[in-house]
Amino acid sequence: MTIDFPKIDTRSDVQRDAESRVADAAMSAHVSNLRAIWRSPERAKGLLPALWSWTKKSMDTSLSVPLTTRRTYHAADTDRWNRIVVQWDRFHWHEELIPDRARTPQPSLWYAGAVDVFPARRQSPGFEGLAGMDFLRAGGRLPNVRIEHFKLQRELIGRVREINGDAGEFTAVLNERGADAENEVVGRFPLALLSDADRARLDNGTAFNLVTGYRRVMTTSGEVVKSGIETRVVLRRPSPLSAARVEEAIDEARRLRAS
Amino acid sequence: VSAPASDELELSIFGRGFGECVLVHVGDRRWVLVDSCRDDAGDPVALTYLGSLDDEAEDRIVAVVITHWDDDHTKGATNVIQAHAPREVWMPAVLDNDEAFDFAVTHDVAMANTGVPSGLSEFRSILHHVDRSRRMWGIRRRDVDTTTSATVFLLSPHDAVVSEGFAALGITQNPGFGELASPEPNDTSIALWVNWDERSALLGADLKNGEWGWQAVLQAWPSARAPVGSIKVPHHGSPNAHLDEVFTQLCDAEVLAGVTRFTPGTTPRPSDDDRDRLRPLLGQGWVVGAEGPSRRQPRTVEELHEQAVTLDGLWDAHGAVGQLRIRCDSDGQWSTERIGAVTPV
Repeated sequence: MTIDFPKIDTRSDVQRDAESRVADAAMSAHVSNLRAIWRSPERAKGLLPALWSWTKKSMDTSLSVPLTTRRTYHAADTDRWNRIVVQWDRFHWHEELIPDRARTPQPSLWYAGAVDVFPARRQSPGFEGLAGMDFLRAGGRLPNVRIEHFKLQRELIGRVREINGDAGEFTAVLNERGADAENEVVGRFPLALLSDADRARLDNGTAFNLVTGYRRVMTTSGEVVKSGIETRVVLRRPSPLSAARVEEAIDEARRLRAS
Repeated sequence: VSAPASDELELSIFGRGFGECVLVHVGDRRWVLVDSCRDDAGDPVALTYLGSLDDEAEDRIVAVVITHWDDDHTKGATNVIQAHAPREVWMPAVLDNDEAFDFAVTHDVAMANTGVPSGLSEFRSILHHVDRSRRMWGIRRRDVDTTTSATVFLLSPHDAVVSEGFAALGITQNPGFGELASPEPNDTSIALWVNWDERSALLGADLKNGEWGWQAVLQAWPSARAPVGSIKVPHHGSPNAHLDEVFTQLCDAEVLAGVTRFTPGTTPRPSDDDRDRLRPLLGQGWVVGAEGPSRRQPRTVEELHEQAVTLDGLWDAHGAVGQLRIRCDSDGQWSTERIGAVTPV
């Protein structure tokens, strides 16, 4: 499901209201769908293999977008993301990031994945061995479901030029995707923007995306928790080259050496 | 623009805040290009300048030296090589190693895969346009063939750096992850000494001041050499490339100096401290390249938010081009001309 968030600076109030109603109606329908599936966990369980097949395919061909501090998600290089967060309580949750441009899975698949990697196993000793469906059968509470939609409005691709740990900042050269090098801009960023893990990975030349987009977070009850423009620094984790591409590159190197 | 006399040494130092280039006239309208950057129109500054000279004679770049692979030193080099077909194209010798060569190409392919430019892209392009007979691997104590009586002599990289190969290249990661960088003190940058009938100049590239950098150059410097009359200050005047002795022992007291500006650093160079450090060591010194990049004004809500995560907004990386032209006639008289964005140190 896709909700198109319009640009806020170009719409009239009437347009905004109308589009908002359409978006909210779509979201409500979607949430109802999720609830229905939740009532048939056996059906969701049967869909697990399909989910992992899709996830694996997505991971192989996509870049990594660590949108949360807890896990790193892989999303296709797209301008729209949907993230689903299934939260049982403050200690137990699962999040999935769904690239909108890629084959968007049915909500049932999202749920099945959420259940499968239910984190209670690690985080709460009382739930050891009770993963996913088992937990529900054992009387687990119906979780709260949050769905986050992110529509990219602007993206710059940057590479780190210098890191000054003492001053707590780094500089980078940035540009639009595929734009002329003469349009490059320079920015100084606080290291505090990054998670500890990202900070440890930061090096001269590390590539990242500076993404700005509209983000809306809704709950199962249809409540809009958050809605607005957001900018993030997302470190890139380029997919490793395939063996064939590496071989091709080495062939090119051999040809160049010999020519 | 007046062309140099056929027996006049010229050093034209170009800078623009992110990119530098030096053209050396070695006599008879023959030039050696050291590094390359583009101008506002996207053309290599070297081609634009040579095209503007008012002489009848044909100017020819006989050799190109790419001191290292950072992209503020390489842009447009391929265009120059295609236009002038130099006899020699010099690159750091650490790349003259099968494994390093393979890695360099693979790394660039992997970076291209991410859509992020790599400093090695221009190198890869150069390699495609320069056959083996013209490829020269830079290591200290070798000479560039200038085809004239002028000498262009390599002061670095040190043999020890080259023998370290991969370590000197800074290859610690998988291809595609991060840029290649030369960690101190191993420095692969090619610094040059230009000498023509006792007229002498030093081109410092980005060579740093470590054991295998300027310290090694100082140790190997023959005392009989004529004092250096002009210098391209290494690494934008940064303290990690500075040694007082380079100026006090190798240079004339009245040395003319050009410092190329570098804006994308956490401390833009040369900083006020760099200037204070350099000023007493120079006869005259100039900073080449626009005084400061211009701030990008946000036009949309998205841009406003994008800039909110930066410490001081986004700035154009490339400032206005400056050119410091230093000439020395056959009588040993030095003179300078400042064109565009050039300010005193």
